[in-house]
Order: sequence, then C-alpha cells, then structure tokens
Amino acid sequence: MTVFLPAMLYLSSLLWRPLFHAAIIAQVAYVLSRGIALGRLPLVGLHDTLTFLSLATAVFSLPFQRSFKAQRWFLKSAALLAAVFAILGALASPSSSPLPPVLKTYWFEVHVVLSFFSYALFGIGAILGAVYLLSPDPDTEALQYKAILTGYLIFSLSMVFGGIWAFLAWGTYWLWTPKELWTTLLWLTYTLYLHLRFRPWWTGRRIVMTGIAGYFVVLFTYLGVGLLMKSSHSF
Amino acid sequence: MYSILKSIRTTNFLLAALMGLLVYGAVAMPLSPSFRSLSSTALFDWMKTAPLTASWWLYGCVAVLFLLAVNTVLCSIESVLRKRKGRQWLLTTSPQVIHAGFCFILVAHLLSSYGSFHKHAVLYEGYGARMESGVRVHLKEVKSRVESGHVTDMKATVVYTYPDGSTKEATVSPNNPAFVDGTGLYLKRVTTDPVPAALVLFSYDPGALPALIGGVLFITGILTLVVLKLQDKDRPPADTA
Repeated sequence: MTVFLPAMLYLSSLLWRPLFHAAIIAQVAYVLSRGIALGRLPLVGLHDTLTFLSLATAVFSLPFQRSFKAQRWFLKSAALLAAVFAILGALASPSSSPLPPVLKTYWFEVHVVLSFFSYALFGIGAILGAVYLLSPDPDTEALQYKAILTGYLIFSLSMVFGGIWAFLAWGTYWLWTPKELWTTLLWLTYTLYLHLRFRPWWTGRRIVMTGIAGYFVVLFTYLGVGLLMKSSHSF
Repeated sequence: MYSILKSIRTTNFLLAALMGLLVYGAVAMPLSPSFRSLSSTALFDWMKTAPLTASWWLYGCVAVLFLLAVNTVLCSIESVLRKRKGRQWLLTTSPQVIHAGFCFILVAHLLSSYGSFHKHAVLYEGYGARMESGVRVHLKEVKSRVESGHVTDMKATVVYTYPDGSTKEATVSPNNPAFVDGTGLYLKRVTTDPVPAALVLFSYDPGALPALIGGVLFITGILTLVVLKLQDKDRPPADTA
C-alpha cells in the first residue's frame, strides 16, 4: 500500500493541486525508508529506478511551475508522468539482494543519480514541448530549451562519471554494448537539438517536436535497452 | 568547400548521419557473433579482421566523425573570429571550450582504437604471469566474502617483480586496480575452490587521459553556457555555434 501511495497522490493532485507536494513528501519518505533498509542508495532494478525517476520528474517540475500561458496543462502533465512512473515502479518487484562488489562505489551512485536527474529534465522538456503544441507561446519554448540544456549538462556529467567508473572497474572508459551506443545516441539527439535551434527554419513547432522526440530516445535507452538487449547495464 | 565545412548546417547533417549509423549498429551488434570480441580488442585491429558486412557502419562512423571534427574546428575558429570584438566573451568562448572537449574525446577514442589492449588471465595463488613489459606478477593471496549466496567483497594481493629484481606489493579489488607502466591489473573474480585463484584483466588504454581532459573541458564549457543561458531570455542568433 505504501508503495502505491505516491502514485495515488500524484493522480489525486490532478483534481487538487496541493496533493502534488504531499506525493513528493510520501515518495521521499518511501525512497529514504528503502535506502535505510538496504543500507545504500536504492538505485538498482526497475522498482527503485522507476520510483526514483518518478520522484526526480516531480521535483524537477517545481522550478518550472511558474506563470506561463498554459501552466495548468504543464502541472497536470508533470503529475501524470510522475504517476505513471510511480505506478510502474510499484508494480515491479523490488531487488533487495546485496550489491555485487563492482557496484559498491560512489562513482556508480553519482553516475546513476545524475542519469535519472537528466532523464527527468528531458521529461520536463518533453512536457513543455507538448504544452507548446497545445498552446504556442515563445516563453514555453524558452523553458523547454532551458530544461533540455540543464538536462544535457547533467547527462554529460553523468557520462563523464560513468567513464571514470568504467575505467576503474573494466579498464576502459568505453564498452561496446548496446547501452553505450544508445546512451551516445541519446547524447547526440540532444546535441542535434541544441544545434538545430541555431537554424531559423527550426524555430517553433519543429524544434519543440525535436525536444519531444528526444524523450522517446530517453525512454528507449532507459527501458527498451534494459528489457530487450543484453548489456553492461541492467537499467 | 570551406563554407560547407564550416557551416552549422553541415554539423546538423553529420550529427543526423552519425545517429543513423549508430541506430543501425545498436540493432546489428547484438545480432551478430562477430561483435563478441569487440570489447576485448582495439577497434582498428577488430575492424581489420571483421567481415565488412558487420563492420561497414563503423567505417561510416569513423568517416563522419573525421568530418565532424574538421567541421567543429572550423566552426569554432569562424565563431571566435566573428565575435572577437564582442563584449560577451564568456558566451563566445564557452561553446569553443565544449568543442575543444569534444575534440579531445575524439582523440581519446582514436588512441584507444589504435593502441589499447584488454587481456584476461587466471592466476593461481602462489603462481604468476609475465606482462609484455617484462614485469612478472605473482598472486600472493585471494580473499572473498559471501552473503546470502552472493559475493559481496573480494580482494587479491599481488607482487610485481621488475626485470632488475626489485618487487612491489599491491592489493587489487573491484574498482581498485593496480598500475605498472600504464597497464592496469583489474580483479574480476576470485575462487577458493578447488584452489585459490583469481580471474584478472590486464588492460592498457592510451585514450583514458585525453578522454578525462576532454570530459573536464566539455563540462566546464557547458556549465558556463548553462549559467549564462539560464539568465538569458533571448533565442541564440542564427548560425553562430
């Protein structure tokens, strides 16, 4: 029941806004309790990573909850996205087995935490893009750009930390696995987004849709590769 | 030709082409057994022996990355020359720092693709192996801890013997390799049954340091850009990467 509480609160916040903050508090409490029980950051397996992604999406939506034209749609979409991840996380069985020695390092923890922070910001970027399509407004597009640019910084930082960890664990900063290729693809997608934005032809709907498309690459890199392909990463 | 190579339109085209090749590679790689040895072989050595039907997209990636590197350098030079008298020098230089970081990362991959090696070996307690540099490595002791059927900790003590007879002792564990002459010794697995032994990896990657420098430059540049852009409400001017 505890595990479903944040999801229910996120969904209820679609009707009564203050419950969004209650959902965040409930989810923080759940993540903390998991961390205390496991004696480590709960960031291994679908259950914990989806829960963390839900929480990160909700928290990173907070700075963007300010006055712009279609703010109402943004708030509802952010709550819905956080709820979807929270429900999927609650449905997945938690992994409580001890960590293999190679994962017992701060490099791993920082790499994973930053990855999910960036995924959350890319999600916020996609929501802002969808909101722009519903109600075109240059401010919304500018907010999408800021969310994606910040996500890109954090994602790049996560890749650098991942490279350092890989060098210390596997003797090389780069491994030829589908996950690494998809991670590079994800990085290239947003690199392309940032460069396309310089071209006048790509203003408005086109650039906004590129930002939305990037999030599908995020979802495939995170969930698709882990579920469909053998890789150095479980998730 | 120069105007094409320095254009941001070319950057976008090359990025899209690279993405297309990587999508193909990411799908093809798990399906072909040829790629199984790729992570243990330097890329260019692997490409020499792999069938072209499996490796063609990697040749494509190398070609596109070469053009992208040229494009990046020319674009940066052009941008600095155009904006050198402007007042917002941080806004002008931070993308160029990002580009410099990107170029370092490309150089790193080039070096790794030429000269890296990764070789696994099983060392038995009391016995050793000889490294290419002539240094002998001898496994002195292995230890492991098992909880609920899972190995939760392990370490090995090794002794290096140099050609001049001097010795050095080191302890290796996961995420804690030992280095001699740039070659890392990585502990992958240990066993005590039937005899104490360790599966180790000898790894040399000449691209690691340039990759780290590139990463630091990239992050420095983009962090500066993010700070500047978060305060900025304007769209970037057209064609000025």
